[in-house]
Amino acid sequence: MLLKITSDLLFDKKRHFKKTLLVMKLIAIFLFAACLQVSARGYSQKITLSQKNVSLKKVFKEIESQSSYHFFYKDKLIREAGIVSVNVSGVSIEEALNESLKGLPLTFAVLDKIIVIKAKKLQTILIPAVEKLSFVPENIIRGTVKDTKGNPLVGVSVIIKGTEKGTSTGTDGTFNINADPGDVLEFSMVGYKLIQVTVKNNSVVNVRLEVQEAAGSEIVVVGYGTQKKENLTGAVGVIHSSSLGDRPTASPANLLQGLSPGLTVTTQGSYPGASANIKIREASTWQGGSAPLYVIDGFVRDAAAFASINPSDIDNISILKDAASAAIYGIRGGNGVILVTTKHGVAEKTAITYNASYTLNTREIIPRIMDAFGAYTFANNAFAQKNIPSTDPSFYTPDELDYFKAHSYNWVDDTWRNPWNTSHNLSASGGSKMARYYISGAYLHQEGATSNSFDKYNFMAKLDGDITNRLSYNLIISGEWGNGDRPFWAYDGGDFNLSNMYNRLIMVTPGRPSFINGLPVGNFDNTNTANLAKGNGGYTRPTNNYISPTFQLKYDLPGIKGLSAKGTFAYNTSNNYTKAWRNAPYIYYFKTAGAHNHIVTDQLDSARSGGYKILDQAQTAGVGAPTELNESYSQSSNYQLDLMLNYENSFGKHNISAFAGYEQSGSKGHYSNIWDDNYSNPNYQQINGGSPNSTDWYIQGDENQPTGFASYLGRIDYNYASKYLLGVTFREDGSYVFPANKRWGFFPSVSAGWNIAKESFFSNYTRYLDFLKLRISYGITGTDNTTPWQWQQTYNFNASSGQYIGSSVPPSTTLGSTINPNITWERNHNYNVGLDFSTPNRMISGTVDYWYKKTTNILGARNASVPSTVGATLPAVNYGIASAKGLELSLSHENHVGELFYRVSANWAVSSNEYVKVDQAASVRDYQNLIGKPVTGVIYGYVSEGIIRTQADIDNILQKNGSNYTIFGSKPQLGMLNYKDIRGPLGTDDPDGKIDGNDQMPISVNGVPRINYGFNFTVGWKGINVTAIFSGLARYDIMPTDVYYRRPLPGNNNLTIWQDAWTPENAATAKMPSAVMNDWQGTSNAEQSSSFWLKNGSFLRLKSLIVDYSIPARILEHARIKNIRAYFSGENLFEWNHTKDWDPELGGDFRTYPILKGFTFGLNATF
Amino acid sequence: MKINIKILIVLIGLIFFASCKKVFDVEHTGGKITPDEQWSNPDFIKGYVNGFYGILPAWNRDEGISGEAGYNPLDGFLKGTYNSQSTYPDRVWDYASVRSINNFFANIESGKSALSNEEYNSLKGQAYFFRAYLYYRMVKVLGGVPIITDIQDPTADINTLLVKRNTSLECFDFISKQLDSAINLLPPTWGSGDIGRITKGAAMAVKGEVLLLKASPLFCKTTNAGYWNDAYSALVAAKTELDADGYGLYTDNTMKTNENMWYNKEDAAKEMVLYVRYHYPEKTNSFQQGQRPLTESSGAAGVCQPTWEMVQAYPMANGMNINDPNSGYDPTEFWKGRDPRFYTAIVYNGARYDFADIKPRVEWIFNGIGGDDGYKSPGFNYTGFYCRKEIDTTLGATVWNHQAFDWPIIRYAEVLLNLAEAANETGHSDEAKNLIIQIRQRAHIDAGNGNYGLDPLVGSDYQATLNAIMKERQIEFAFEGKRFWDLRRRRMFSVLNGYGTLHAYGPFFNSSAASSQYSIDVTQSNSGIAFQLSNLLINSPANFDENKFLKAITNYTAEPIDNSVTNKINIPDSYYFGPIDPQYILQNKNLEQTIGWDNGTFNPVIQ
Repeated sequence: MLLKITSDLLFDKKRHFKKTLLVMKLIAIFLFAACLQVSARGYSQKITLSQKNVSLKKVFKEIESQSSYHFFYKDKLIREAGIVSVNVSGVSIEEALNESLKGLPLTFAVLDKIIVIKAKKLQTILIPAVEKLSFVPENIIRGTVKDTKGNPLVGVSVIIKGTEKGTSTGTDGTFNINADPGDVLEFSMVGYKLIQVTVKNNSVVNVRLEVQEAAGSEIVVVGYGTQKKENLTGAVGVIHSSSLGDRPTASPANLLQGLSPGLTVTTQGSYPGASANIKIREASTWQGGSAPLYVIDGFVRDAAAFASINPSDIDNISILKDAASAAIYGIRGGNGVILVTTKHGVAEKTAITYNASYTLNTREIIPRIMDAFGAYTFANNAFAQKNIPSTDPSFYTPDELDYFKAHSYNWVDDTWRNPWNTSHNLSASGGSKMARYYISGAYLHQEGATSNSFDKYNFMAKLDGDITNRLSYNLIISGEWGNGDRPFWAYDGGDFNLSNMYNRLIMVTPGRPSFINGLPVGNFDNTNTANLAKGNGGYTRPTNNYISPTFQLKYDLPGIKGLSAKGTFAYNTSNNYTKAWRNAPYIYYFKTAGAHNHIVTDQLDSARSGGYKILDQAQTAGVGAPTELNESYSQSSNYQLDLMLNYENSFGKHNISAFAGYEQSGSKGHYSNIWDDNYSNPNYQQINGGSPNSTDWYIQGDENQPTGFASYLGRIDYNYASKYLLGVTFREDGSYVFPANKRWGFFPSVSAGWNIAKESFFSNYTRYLDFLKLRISYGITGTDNTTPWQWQQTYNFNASSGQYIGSSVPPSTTLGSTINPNITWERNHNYNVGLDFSTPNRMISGTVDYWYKKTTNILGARNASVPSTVGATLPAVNYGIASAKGLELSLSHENHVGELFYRVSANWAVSSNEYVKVDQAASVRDYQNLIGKPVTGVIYGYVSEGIIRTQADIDNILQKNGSNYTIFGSKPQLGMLNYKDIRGPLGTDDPDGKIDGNDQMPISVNGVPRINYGFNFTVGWKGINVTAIFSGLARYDIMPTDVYYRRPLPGNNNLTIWQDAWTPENAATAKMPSAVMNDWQGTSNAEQSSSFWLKNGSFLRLKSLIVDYSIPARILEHARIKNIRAYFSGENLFEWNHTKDWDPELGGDFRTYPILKGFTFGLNATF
Repeated sequence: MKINIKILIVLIGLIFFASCKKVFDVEHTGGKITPDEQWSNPDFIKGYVNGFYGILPAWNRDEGISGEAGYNPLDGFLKGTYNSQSTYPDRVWDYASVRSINNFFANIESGKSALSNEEYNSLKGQAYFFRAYLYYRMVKVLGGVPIITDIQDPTADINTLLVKRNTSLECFDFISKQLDSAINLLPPTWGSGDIGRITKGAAMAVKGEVLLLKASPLFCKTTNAGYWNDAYSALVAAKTELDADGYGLYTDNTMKTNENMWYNKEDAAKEMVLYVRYHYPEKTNSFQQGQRPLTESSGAAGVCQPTWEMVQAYPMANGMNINDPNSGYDPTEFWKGRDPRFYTAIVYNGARYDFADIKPRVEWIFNGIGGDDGYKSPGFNYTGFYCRKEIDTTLGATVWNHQAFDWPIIRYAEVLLNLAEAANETGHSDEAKNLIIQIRQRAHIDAGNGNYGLDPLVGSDYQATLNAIMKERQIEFAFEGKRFWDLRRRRMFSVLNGYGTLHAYGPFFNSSAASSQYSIDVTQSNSGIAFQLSNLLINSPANFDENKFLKAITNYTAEPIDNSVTNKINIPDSYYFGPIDPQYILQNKNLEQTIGWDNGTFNPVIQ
């Protein structure tokens, strides 16, 4: 017996190690068996089995329940065997096992009351190891078998074709076989395609096996469970770790871009800690945004938690798009769900993985800004047009212009460092049947473009196993610790968004140096932003951490087959602490030169030598003292309790799985904020080091509104032979937001599927299409996204009335809003019809989905229609209706040509939405009527009639519109933009000879991208893989939001597009209106939102290009390393766009901190 | 083992049932008060009335539209480019506060038992006052507005909510009645803990102001003697009450009486009839910041820059207008020998302008030198003048908001001049003259022959007296947010239109150096103040020509603030009344728009 077990180790050179393991295993077995003796009962040893399409595990469990035997096996072996059907009655255990393992590459051995299941070995290789080692023939062929991802495959049978001679691969995927040149080696394994390789003169044969998935056999994680893909009836997008894990990024959101149709991911910039906006399909509401629900390992979490997951820990992500899949999340599923499942341990497959990467970033799109000479020539032109005499000190004199030809400064360049980051991740997984583990630790260090940095540590430990044969547990503890450090900047909105600082740096007039001989220059400006960007004005140091334990117990209930109970408790607590120190730095004044003193020399101004302490930006805005320390602290926690009953069984061809359960969740939190000003010793940067004067202290704090939710939920999935599929889910949700009698909402869904390819009438076509499924679903989700307590009449207490009376500011109370006792859920009706198909071997596979959503009961205050004279603060009422619809396509093609593997896939989605019913003023004007217009993406503005270039143009305009025609109150003048006169004020729907606010109209309905698409290419050859991911948005219009795009400011810096502003000299050809008419003093003619500025926002981006290489196993085997992969990746390498000066993905602001181009080198090793 | 599992299941079940009940029972952390608590707790009832004080107007000096101060470009109001969506000055449509006050009256009886009779009366008195003042603010701008005294149910049939505008006359009558109720209930004075609350005298002063507006040419294009008599009686009563309650003109023996008034709180309090109090750190404001010179304002300057028109309006110290040949005015040294109030409000080139942290200090403002960028940048000084009214020079650059002062809505001086106006309209021009002279005496204008420089016709001739009253208001209340409303009340936009445009006035100093905005250090010696030229922040001392420089500072020229040909002052007559925001008309077709805006049909004029 023992010999038989060791037989697969015979050629293993790591025999001693393996032997130790073996001894340990056996000890474990005997201990296990001994333990079980305690509770073993006298079962009949005759076995009766009637199992259809079940896993071997189930069969074994059944045998265990009928006998006193217990099974011991490698999970992987059993899983690879797939499903079996056994039908025996009153047979011996050997017979039952023979029947069960029939046709499978498995055999068994009986050790006392233990049955060991193992891979079948061919007799011919059962040669004693010692002999084998002493007579190694010359024609030994060695090699490694891996999957297409480069992971070694264990237990692959290697047979010389036409003979019985063969072997199988070891735990590291390697094999040795005695074969002659000309022999054909057959590599086969369940679940993989068979490969034949002819032995040549070389002694190494490395092969890769491709997954032979019966199309649809893939397991998909869905809400509260898993399903086989072929049995899915909902619209679920699946992204596996294989398409995520190799790309360097701090946040997983960026990884989703371009991978699934209907999933719009827009980056918020590449500053350290930046996150991304994710939207699943188009929202059919205007309430509460479009953020999806994030569920991580079954636990509802927020976007921040999703953003902070270590991408290496992710096993797969499911995107639940329609109600059939998302309605199980009821109230929170309205915007779709992103389900993240993290990696877990696999018994006896010990793997230690180390990933490391280094990324260097550069700016991808740089706004085209004028240089000093260009900027000042432009300024002089603008002054001249405004009849400002050239003697005016604002003018740049010829000597100065001459100087600036050679002296131009760019403050962004002065402060910019190319950001870089490095990440390290170490994980280990493995375990036994009793206990499996996955532990992982990650470290990320980012250095930003200014003197900012970010460090993040993640850890995750997962333990799951069996307490008894019926009771199993699952414990997950994950956490994060993040540390940031950045220059103090009063306007960064409290986050890492350095856009404000960046955009100020961009606009500094280019004739001024930021530093001279290392000293910050103070001339012309009492703030030197570059100096602050370098951290000389203080710092902000946020730290955040969270810890999230989840504990789950699962119990297979006795008595009813397939029934199990599960209880899960998950808890998360996060803490944020930020310390911000601000001090007023010194700046220096230098002597100026030039006829108008526009040139800064390098001579310190003696009148102010020694430096001059300035007040920083925050103070000039009147918000503070020369020094200030701010400490803010916030804490929040949430929990979720799930109690579930699961049932799964088959009756002939009828397969049922179902669950019902109860879920409850809640959250709470608080924050506090302390400031102290006027530090007499600026080196003592502690909160008690500031001025003791009470007027220099500020304290703030509040508790967040706690939340509470409870739900009853369930699902029944039924299929007949995986051919006809039916799914029903329900969820009864209760929310603290609504009054007791309106609190509960019922959210059902029903879906059906038809696997057409399984029909007998289709059998003639299965060689063309072996998988063809039609899906249809309808369901309701809900939203409670509104302020709680709107059903309770209250008065507000204000600690300060805002009035100083007597010698204090007394408190005040104010009437709260009127109430809505009937406030309840928004209801979101979802329809989806989809088609999945695949040709054999997935040569071509694809999915088409059409969806329609209608949200009713949309909550909102009826401020537009209730007359203002009522004077009430109105509560939200369930009033509005909106709809959305869309089409999604994805298509992929994959193939092998010799050793070359390639896959091409593409996805494309289009969507739109519109108002059906919305609160509007009774006599709303037609052009402002929202009904029928898109909910998102309408851009209002004027219709441009172009630049008024000549006096003839003015004459024509006056002739056409009347001599009293005005444009925003001014008579038409040269260089202005003229607009279309559409209508007059209320009551005048015809042109009124005045361009004013009444002449606006929707100039685009595509202010949000209507189409998102992506395509990916993967090519693999001999260990080298190249993957390219493209993503893009289309049917997308942008109104440039930045004021300096639409209105130049002579004296600041401006985009080079303004060099083509209208002047009398280039009247006929100018592309931009006059810089003067576009008055820089305030009101302006041209800066209005108009069709003149509307830009096509469509773009296509080469999101990612990855080249990776796996070092051949034979080089590694001596080092006991299973696998080493090295990769080089480029992110955001190129973008094709129309906006030129900025990245349309960031919206309409050319001064936003950019999305960066990244170059990464990474290493991935598995031991 | 099996048993343990059962126990486990039971335990889980218990957790489930135990927690299920409490799931929705979360704390309401908003600090909310129930209606019962609100109307039974005297502190909450008083607090509710404290909330009404926000109805008093915030700082608004109407600088851009009154001609007192100027900016480039001119305000659209002056240029006549407003439409119904533009924000008409001080336009208020605050029906939220109307509802809030109505709610007070609906509930106060239930709170009566929690209050002493005195408290009950004074709270009701304040509420009546604020209901009146709120409607007064709305009617002042728009004319008649819907009078609502009930608490409308927003879920009611919308047709029942479509109210109409009441006539201006109905509104004035409503306001008067509310004020009468307030006057009956309010105390003449408050204890020290309630300083700043509305007094009986304040309510009477407001009543006088309201009736003056009702009788004014704005609302009565043809004179209604009865209305003027009502106004006169109300103002006489107000003055009598105020005098009895200790109000009066603040005086001290310095030439800076009108400057000290702002900060000599103890003594100046008697001048303040209706006002908003500021006190650091409890209630601060940023009024001063932008108005201070750059070095003294933590980087923000440019608010309230007096125009050359305003500077010229000040009489001489002898009380005579500068265009009077006997006034002694010398245009080359315009700053010499002016009304003492000139020096308490206007900072001109070379004026001494000491601050706690820099003194002695002289203000130096070059016309034509903007701030950092461009020509006449609006960011810094633009007109050649700073306004020093309300500036607390005892506070340095970084502590400019550490002020304690009262921002007046009605000063005692205004009650006097209101009374003067009503007196003049009711045939008591001589009484009007006496009142003007009280103001001039306080301002330390030379008495001269006892006329304090007034036109000899003042006191006997209606028009001359009216002109003197309007001039006195312009000077006495300069930069206090009164001028625009005076011109409007008297239908005198022609004065602004007559300016053509507003002007800056200063020496054009043709050297750069934005840094010349900073002050010049001066030294004080026995012989007076001397410029320290070496410390002048001129960037090229080598090229500095002292003679040229000194010549330059006297070489003043007036320049239009906004020299664009299309931007002349041209206020149409239709601007005397403001438009209702058209969005309210879209909601309620029964609301008529004011005549002159969007084909409006509502006539706010009483007769």
